[in-house]
Amino acid sequence: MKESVSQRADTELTEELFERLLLWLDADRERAGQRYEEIRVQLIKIFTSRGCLISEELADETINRVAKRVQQIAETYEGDPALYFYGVARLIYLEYLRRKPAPQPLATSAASEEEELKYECLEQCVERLTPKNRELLRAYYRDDDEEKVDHRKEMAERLGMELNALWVRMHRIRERLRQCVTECLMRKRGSDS
Amino acid sequence: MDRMTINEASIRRYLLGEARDEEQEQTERRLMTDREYFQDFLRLEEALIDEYIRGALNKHDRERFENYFIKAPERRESLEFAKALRRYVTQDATLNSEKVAGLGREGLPPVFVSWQARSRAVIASLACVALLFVACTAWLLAERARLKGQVEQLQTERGEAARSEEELKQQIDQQGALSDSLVQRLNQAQAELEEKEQEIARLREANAPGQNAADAGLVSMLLAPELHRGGEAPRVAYLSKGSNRLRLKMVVEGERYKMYRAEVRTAEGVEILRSDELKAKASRNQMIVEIELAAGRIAQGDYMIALSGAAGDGGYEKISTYHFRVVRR
Repeated sequence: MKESVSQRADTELTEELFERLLLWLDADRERAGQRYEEIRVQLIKIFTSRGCLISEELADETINRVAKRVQQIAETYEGDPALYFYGVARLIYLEYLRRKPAPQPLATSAASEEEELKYECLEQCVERLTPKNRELLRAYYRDDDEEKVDHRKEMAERLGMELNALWVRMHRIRERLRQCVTECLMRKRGSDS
Repeated sequence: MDRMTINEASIRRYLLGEARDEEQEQTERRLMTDREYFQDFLRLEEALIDEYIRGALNKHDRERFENYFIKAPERRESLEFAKALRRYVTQDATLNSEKVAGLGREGLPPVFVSWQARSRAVIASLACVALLFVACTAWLLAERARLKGQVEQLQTERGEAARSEEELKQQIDQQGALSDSLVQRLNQAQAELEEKEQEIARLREANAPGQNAADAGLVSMLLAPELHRGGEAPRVAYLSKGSNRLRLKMVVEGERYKMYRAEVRTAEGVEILRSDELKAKASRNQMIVEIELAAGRIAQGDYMIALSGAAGDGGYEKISTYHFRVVRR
């Protein structure tokens, strides 16, 4: 499947195309870069929500295809460019359905070692968080009953922030942890082989 | 049901694969264009995983979760990570409580044990009273010193925690203020940009070779249908002294009709224009219905357009609404 996608994609995004794409998204390069990242994550989430097995590749394929058309459309297109990406993403999804790969096998008992490895990494990564963030993480997940949301609400009030702001902060901590665990796993696998 | 609740219900249906085609498309379009909505989506996605792990989903949702939501590898990975995190926090909490319990059992100083032995000796022999008294006093002094040290340490830690919390609050306040200021500047810049664009368009039209003199004062604006009332700021038309007409192009979505009716009302509900037998025309992959208003008839303020399609029985069915604002310069 990966081969077919990359073959179809024809796909390396040249620097020139990429620069033109960024310019279309925003005249300010920094803001354009941020918007590009946002659009990529949004596309991945949409493909994931539609049950695609290769969401990241499909999102990149979408971006590449839009980049190739930017020169033709930039002058005349009206509205939010993100919606143009969405239109192309829908076509890519239909193409994906036609050549859908076989579902991935479910995890087996052999995966338990991998799970333990992951857990070791998680422990190490939590220890690397700042003491404040570590304490926040523990407090956020401490209660496990039905009153959990209320517990978090109280926690947010104690910290003088909205519940949503607390969630955003926890989301960042979790994403940092995930990144750390992924890197740790790569290191461990590298040292095993 | 307030806006957030409607959003949450819709996102949840989408996550569990229960949204119909139209709702699915609407949700995805908003995911692409509305940052706040996207953040709600991420939060609810995480909450769903959380509920699944805690066994808090009902039977139906649990089935949808297992048969649809978790199909994508990214979601399976998220579930595994959430399980590991939960396991870590649970084990960590257990470990801490054991440490605390251990202190309670083993934390008695040896002097206390010897004091207990001596107290038994006191019962056996009054002669030991004096010795016991000395031992007790020594122990009490030592214990008092130890407790005093603990209290001071706790006070120091409490002070540090309060300072940390205060710092955190200040950081959040600063970030909030910065964010508000950025949003304000962004809105201002967008309004200015919109005004300039309209001015440029007007000047272009006025200067175009062979341009009809009647088009010189035309201000044109594209309007998208409103998905949720009050959800977005209206588009703004800037009318200068030279503007004599305002052309409004409404994007039509969904079912198509042969004829359309547009009713323009002020924010107070006063109708200022009704136009029947309008036809939609294609423009850049969109269907557009256009109306024009004499600029002199439009005062500064907010307006709403109700667009209806001609039904077979001679009546009109409401399709969508559009909001815009007029600012006079």
